[in-house]
Amino acid sequence: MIDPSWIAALGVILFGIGLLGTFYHKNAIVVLMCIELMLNAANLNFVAAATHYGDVNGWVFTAIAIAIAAAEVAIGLAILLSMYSTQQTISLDAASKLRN
Amino acid sequence: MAIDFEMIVFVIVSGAAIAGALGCVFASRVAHSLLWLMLTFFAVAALFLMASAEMLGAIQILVYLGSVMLVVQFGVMLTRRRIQGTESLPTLNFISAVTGMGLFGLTLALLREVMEHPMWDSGVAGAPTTLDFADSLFNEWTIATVVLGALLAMAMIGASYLVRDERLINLVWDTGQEAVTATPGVGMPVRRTISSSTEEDQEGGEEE
Repeated sequence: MIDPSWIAALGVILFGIGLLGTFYHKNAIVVLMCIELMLNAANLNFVAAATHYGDVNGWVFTAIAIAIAAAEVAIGLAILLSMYSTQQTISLDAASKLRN
Repeated sequence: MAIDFEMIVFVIVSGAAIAGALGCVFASRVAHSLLWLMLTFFAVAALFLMASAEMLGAIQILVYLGSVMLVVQFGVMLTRRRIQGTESLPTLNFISAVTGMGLFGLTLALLREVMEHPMWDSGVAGAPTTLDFADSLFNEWTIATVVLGALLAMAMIGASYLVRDERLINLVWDTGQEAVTATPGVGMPVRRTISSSTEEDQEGGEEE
């Protein structure tokens, strides 16, 4: 079996790319996808630790994280479509309703 | 040292994951970026398989790729076209370059921390089995599983409430009547509250 630390290292790289995407983009859907990428990187770390220690709890945490990510995607997409129909844009620069 | 077959597979899969993630960040259109992201998720599922987490690999492909990402893809591609606009690129080039370099440094520092952490010094204990997973999920984490189901139900109800259609024709159809006024033309939906729309409806009826 491959060494779990390599899987954790790949998780770190994916997390860095996802973080770059959240800073880089203004389109809210792309930012949502980059957050999904970071969640998957965290899942990779959970699985690597579970394999290293032989502990099943890492798998349970991963399954819970996947379910919560599904809920988050549904709510996020609904909010963005609703925001588009009221403001005609989903640029994050324009989402300043709470600020004023 | 002989060529390790598993290492070759790992290099291919992780290369696909990194390429997909970079494509997701730097693709110019939202639909393309989502397809790149699906490539990354496939690679992550393959990595779950390589770490002997077969059940998680199946969950990743069936639930995540098969339903969630497909729904997002349909939601992006079948709705308005301008939602996929390319106005997303940064305008402050100097600041974004500095941010990119800073994030690259942060990633390298994190990589060093993770790879040289003392937890990897002890031997690998071996992965648990799927039977252990089921036992733990439904005995030890029962309450968490039930709460998770309630959370998912609330999320779906909330999502369908947020994207509800308030157009007059749908409201009238819900009450089993026929629309009296002419429906607005094709294009953006005309947003009306229920009270104002019924008033307008009555006025239109009187005029006719």
